[in-house]
Amino acid sequence: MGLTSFSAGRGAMREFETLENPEKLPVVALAGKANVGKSTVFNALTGLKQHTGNWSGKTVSLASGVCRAREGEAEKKLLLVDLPGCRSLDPASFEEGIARDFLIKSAPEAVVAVVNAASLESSLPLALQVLALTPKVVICLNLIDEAERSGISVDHTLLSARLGVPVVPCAARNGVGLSALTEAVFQVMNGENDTETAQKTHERCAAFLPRENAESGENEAAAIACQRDCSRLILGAVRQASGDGGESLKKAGRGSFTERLDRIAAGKWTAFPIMFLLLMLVFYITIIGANRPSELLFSAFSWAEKLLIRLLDWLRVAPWLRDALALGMFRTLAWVVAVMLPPMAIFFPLFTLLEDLGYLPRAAFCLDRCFACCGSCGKQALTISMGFGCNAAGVVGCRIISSRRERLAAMLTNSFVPCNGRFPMLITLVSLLIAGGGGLSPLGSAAALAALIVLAVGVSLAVTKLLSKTLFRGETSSFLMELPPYRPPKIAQVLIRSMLDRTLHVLARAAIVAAPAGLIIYAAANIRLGGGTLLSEFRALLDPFARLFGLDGAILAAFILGFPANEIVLPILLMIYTGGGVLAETASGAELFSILTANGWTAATFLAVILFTLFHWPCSTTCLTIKKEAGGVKWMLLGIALPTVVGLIILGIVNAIFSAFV
Amino acid sequence: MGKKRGEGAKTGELRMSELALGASARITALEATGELRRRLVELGFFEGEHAVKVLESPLGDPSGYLVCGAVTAIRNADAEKIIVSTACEEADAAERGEEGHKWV
Repeated sequence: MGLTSFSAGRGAMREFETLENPEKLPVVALAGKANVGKSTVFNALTGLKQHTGNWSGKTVSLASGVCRAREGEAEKKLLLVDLPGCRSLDPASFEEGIARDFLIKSAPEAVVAVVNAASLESSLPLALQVLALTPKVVICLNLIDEAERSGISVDHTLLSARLGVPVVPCAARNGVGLSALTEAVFQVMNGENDTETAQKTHERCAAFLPRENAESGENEAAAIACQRDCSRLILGAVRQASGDGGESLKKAGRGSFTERLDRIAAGKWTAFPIMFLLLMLVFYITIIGANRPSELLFSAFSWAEKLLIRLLDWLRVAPWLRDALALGMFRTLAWVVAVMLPPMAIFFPLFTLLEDLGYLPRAAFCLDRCFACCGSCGKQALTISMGFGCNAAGVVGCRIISSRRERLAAMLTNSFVPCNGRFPMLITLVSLLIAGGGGLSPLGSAAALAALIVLAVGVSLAVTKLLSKTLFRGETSSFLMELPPYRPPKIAQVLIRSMLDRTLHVLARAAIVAAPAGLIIYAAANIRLGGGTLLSEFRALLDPFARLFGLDGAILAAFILGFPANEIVLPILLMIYTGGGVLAETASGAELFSILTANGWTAATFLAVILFTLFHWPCSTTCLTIKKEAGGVKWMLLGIALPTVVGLIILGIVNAIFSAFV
Repeated sequence: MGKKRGEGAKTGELRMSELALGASARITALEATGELRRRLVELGFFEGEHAVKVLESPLGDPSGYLVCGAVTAIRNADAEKIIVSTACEEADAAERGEEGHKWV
């Protein structure tokens, strides 16, 4: 699933139930196989920031948006609905059922069937099935730039004459052909196309539509007939530049560029090293790039905090309230944003670049066997990598896994891998453990982080295997995934759009989650109870239990209070150790090291905390996302319990080993 | 229902999972049932279509097959259920070039 506020933020929480059409605009549906650029067309026409990526199965919930287009001289508005990508309209499949239901029940004024000019054979069958439902179709012949690169040319006039409906060549990524497309939509809505031929096509294609409650084998025969008719339809309309029609057509759309890259990406000896290197590269760039911006953000927030205090004083707010708001709430907000925003603003665009390029399906392809052994499939590799950015986004991303059982396992184990919010803490602790107050080089940090990730993924796999043998017992599903050709990503577009999306999302999340948390933490640290504060009592309470696992009461308290957002665990810990009532502003490596060692931290403690950072309950946003996606509080509770129990077991073992030998 | 290796070798018939990298063949039968069968047919894996094995995972499983203009990754356990034949390749290539059937 794309990494935008729509798919990963509050947008994802909104389920598409009824079509909102307050202005009663004409409804136009967008249908097409996954990965033909349908969402790119949608974005280009509506300006909605719905993310698209170069692999199948991305849009599941329906998005709609208003498109402003010219009909002749006038500017008209249309309501565009983006249907889930599907290869056919078979009611047996969930996504296809949604598309089919929409087309039948909502009866849009027109349907734009998006097909891939570079791979007509595989994308046209759906268009024919749509034609079986309505003759008011416009075929958007998308990705003509890709076709040109592969030397394929499509005679769209011939296709249009054969079908009776407009066939419009487009390269939606570059904005080519879009005005012609909307003109064609109006043509079809007004019946200005070759309606006689279109009607004949509509009747001819009726035989290709899969039926509900069909006799056994009937739908299969329909699917086969549909594919065969497609081949007839495009015969003579598609030319391959490199000479012989038959042989090269088979390689349609694949291109030598894709083949050469795949030799490396999926090569026997190169695939995994490349994967690991890419991972390290992404982390390295994130670490290097995030350092300075984080410092700058801290300074900016510090300055803003002072302003806020002056403002509150000027408003004659009571000192206790002023401190709670400025030093409690605002400072917590500052921590979350300053720590999380820079790495996220770098990580997600990089990840999106890989996605747009088409590398991710290759990664899933290579890793599938490992996951199959654990009762899952290669797509979990993709949800895990999404989880690096944000665990909640990773959980939403599990929608791409078709089997419910595997999807649940992937959702519950997603928080085993650390998200961007935990990276800084992990890097800090690892560098303190290895280099004392000195700190590691960025390369060293990236390597350490990558090693920890490998450990986390390993544990994640092991737990998935355990789940598949116990709670989620069942047959292994069939892994069928399309491997689209590589596409050069539109780098600037991706970087800007992704950075903006992420920025807004993080700021929103910080405000909603961190601010109230900040108030609570401030209250706990400043309300006096007995001899100390609520917080110190809490710490004392937890201490005996925590010691069993190589931690101490302060650490455990910090993790618990860090439930809303992992970014604040470290500052809370410092606050507890220094006995202060507010989060520290920042702390250098050396300062941190001395505070921690002064409070009894040994190498064993560092190790325990690092492991616990990897394996503990998910943050609040992720918990709520699990509840929503899995459909029930019991799944959320399981999602909390699973990593916690695993973490405690691991910590218990490690502690026992250390106690025995030290 | 299962075809023995020896039998297949005579007529050029084998399971799709046994295709060598880069080899192409014509699909002659589909032994899959239920949901798998439905999805395979939908992706273009049915009798008469040509499949080319274009990609192999470094761990051996799954493999990528080009069929009907798109490459699909399929696990060996599932690809085993697709019977292909390398025998009639040239004849079919010729047939496809002809305008054997016309639209309308």
